[in-house]
Amino acid sequence: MIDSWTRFHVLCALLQGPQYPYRIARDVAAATGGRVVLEAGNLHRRLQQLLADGLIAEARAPETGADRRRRYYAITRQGRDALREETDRMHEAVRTARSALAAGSRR
Amino acid sequence: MSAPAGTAPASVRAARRLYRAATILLPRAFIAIHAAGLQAFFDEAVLEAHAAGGPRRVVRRTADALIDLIGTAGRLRGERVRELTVAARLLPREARAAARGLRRARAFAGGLLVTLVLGVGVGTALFAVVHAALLAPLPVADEDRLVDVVVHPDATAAAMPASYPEYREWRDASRTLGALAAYGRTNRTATGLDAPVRVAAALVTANFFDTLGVPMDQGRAFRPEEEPAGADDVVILSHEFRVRHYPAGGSVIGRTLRLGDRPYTIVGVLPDGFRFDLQPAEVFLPLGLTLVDLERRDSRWLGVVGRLADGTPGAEAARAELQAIAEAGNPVTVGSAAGGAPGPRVAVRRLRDAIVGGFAPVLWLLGGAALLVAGTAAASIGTLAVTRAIGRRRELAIRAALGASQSALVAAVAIEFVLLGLAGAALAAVAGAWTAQVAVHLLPDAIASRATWLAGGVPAGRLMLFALALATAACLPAVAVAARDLRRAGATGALRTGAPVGTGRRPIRGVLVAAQIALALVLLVGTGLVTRSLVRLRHVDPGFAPDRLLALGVSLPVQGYPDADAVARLYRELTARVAALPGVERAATIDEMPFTRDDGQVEVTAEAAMSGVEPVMALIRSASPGYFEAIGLAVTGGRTLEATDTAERPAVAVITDSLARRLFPDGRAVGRRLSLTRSKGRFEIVGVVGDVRMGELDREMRPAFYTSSLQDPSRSVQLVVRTGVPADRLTGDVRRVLAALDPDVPVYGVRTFAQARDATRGVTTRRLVLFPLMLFGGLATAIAVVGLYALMSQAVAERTPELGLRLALGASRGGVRRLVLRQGLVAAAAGVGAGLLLAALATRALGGVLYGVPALDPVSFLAAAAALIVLALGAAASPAARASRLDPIRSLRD
Repeated sequence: MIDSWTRFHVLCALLQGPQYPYRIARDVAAATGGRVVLEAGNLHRRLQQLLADGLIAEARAPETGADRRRRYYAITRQGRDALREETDRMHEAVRTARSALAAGSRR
Repeated sequence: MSAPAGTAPASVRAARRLYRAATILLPRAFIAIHAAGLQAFFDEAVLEAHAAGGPRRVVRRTADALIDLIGTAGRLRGERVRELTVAARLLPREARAAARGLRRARAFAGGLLVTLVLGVGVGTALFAVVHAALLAPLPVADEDRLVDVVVHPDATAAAMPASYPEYREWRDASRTLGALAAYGRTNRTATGLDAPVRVAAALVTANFFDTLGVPMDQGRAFRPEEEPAGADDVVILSHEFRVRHYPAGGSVIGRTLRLGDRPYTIVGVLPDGFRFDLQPAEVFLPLGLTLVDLERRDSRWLGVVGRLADGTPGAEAARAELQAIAEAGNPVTVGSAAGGAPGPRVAVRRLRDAIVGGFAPVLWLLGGAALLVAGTAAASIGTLAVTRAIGRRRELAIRAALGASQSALVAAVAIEFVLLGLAGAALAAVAGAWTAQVAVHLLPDAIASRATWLAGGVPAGRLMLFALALATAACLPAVAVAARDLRRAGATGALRTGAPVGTGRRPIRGVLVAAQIALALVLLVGTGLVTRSLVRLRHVDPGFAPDRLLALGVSLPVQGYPDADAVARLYRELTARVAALPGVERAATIDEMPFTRDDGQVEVTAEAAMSGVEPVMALIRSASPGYFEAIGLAVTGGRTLEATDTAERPAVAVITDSLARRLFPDGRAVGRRLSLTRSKGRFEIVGVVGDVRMGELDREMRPAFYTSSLQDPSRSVQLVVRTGVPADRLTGDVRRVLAALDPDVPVYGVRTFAQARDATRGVTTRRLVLFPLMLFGGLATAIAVVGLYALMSQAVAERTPELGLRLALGASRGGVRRLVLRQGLVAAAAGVGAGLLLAALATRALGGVLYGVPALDPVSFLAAAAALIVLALGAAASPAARASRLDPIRSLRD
């Protein structure tokens, strides 16, 4: 279950490959046009939850020589499935809302 | 991307430090995982901010980050609280499940309960006794303000009671004390009841009960005008005396009680539970002082108890004041007479310390011993817990596979201990309270009287709370060990695959069993040391031959025996008739028998003393002719007391060797004179005898001298009889003899000299220590041996395939037996080794209890070690035999 926008955006950001928290935060900010700004504490809390739910996993660091304190996270199969499900659900919701709005404007 | 810390701008460095400090807001579990990640994140962010907008941007970025940190901390802790709430809601279900599980694991549940009841019960019993003796309030009002006052006559002398003039000066002049009362002890014979009885009486000032803050149950306290002799024919009864002798109930106020030769009017009855001091008085009388008594400074017999005035900070202020008053009132002191040495020293202590102070170290010592037992129990529970965790391996693995979190698994293990711990604590509290009740009867009288005085005892809630705390302390390490193992194995690791859990477990169990053996050894060594001290002490040479000696108390009333002659005549007659009884070898009288007290000394000096000979504090005893012969005391010079030393002849004295040495360094005592420095007493020394233990066995023998009972008779004496006749029969015979002389005189307090010796404080204190120490040592040893047996049985069961394989491959049965025995012996030897080291440190605590035995006494240490090794071999023998009888085929197939 993806019950918050932060989790949704974090998972989206990880679709491009394993990433470390600061980059995740930047990617999310870029993807949302600066509307979702993730600070360190909040992001780590969310990552912890996603890990516990099995939607992401810790990944091996791809580059060498970078800050060794960085941990990389990757989306899991389960994470992709959950994201797909959530996207479908949202899509369904958007469709329902659109058609309702369209019907309302015709009246 | 992040620059090394050293080259970063100052603002960035400061921001980093601030951020790192702020991370302590987060829960520890979260920090443990994410500290580095958070810091890395922030470092990168703040560097970027600096690059984009300098320090100003850094400040804004840092502020945002800190606000985020605070919010996150709040949210994380909120989640934790929610988790706990969910767990609490699951608790009843879990508890029911655990109860069901325990019903299947009876051996574990039973073992844990028994261990808890033993280990915690002992501690709780001791707590009950310590509570009664040390912690419970005295039966007086506001006891913290009450103080006890004693005097040391010179710098080195033991504390003594005060004289009446001293008391009066303190009372009248003191401003630090709001009230000051005095009391003395005596005995009276109550007649007119069913039979004459000897009662312990206290003589008290009129303000005594007021000072203590004790209200009367019936009637009133004494009035000041009842203090002088002649007006003092009023009595206050203790609750116990009233109940025993006036069982009919109703008021006894105004009734008459005959004490000795006088009628007393009962004016008051004390409330139930009031006892004062260690030897409770049954009746209380006014001081009844004559004009002479009022001025006698050399008569020290008054205990003094005061209540600090409102503004007085503590006992020390009172001490300084009373000291000043004592010096002003009594300028001529021993010290100044002897040339400048300090005079009397006043000591003021809290009343509680004065009463129970002497026993406190002993009881704390026992508390330490009880803790050792609890420690043994804790180690034993630890092994049980590990064994139980192994038994539940499969179940826990299934739960883990089904998605139970680690904390849920730990909770499932812990809840069993919570259930058993609660049950064990409740049982232990009951068992402890019961043991304490029994133990009170086994304690020396001095302590037991106090314990029953506080028989209301420990509030049940407090006892339960203590048992619970002790049970928790005993179970906690076990749960911690089990939880650690679970965590180490991990929900995804060994548990899930069903592989043997934590290979490190058997060593842990071995260590725990060794720890039990070590603790048991400490207690056994202590038991050995105290036993040997007691044996040594009881075999101290008292200076005479105490076997076959009996003492009977006799006390003559003033009525019928108005003067010294009458008293001397009756005792002479009594002694002669008793000596003629069949089976009696000798009979004599003495005013205070040996082993009873060695305080109350008088100052004596040699007449025409040689230069350099100072006055000596000596004990004075009034003995009848034949006394030294009766107790078998060696005469080292001159003669003993004789029937011809009558009142008409010059006063004579027989002195002890130590007094002779001190007063007459030239060695010629016989024929010279001895005088009391504070009164007119002068005696001609006719003989020198050996020293005798008048009081404690473990103290130096005090110099003493004996006067003749014909010249200086005492109304109350001990009739000393050397005889092979049993005490009961002789008492009957003596009663008949005495009744023929005077039917109104009671015989009381019959005891053998050996009994008197065993009633000295030195012996009773050590007995008091020894009894529980033996009990604790036995318990701890039992727990340890059972623990070792369980460990070995378990080990054999777990190693069955391996042992079977060995047998199949040709190992001899004896070899297998030795293999198992050796394993047991290793654990035992490790425990004994550790225990010996521990005991070497711990026996120091015994300090004052030891007598004639060094704290590192090799006999005690080796005996305890040998006993435990033998017991350990015994415990391992049966599992070893089982291992050697294994059927190789079957054990391999299974």
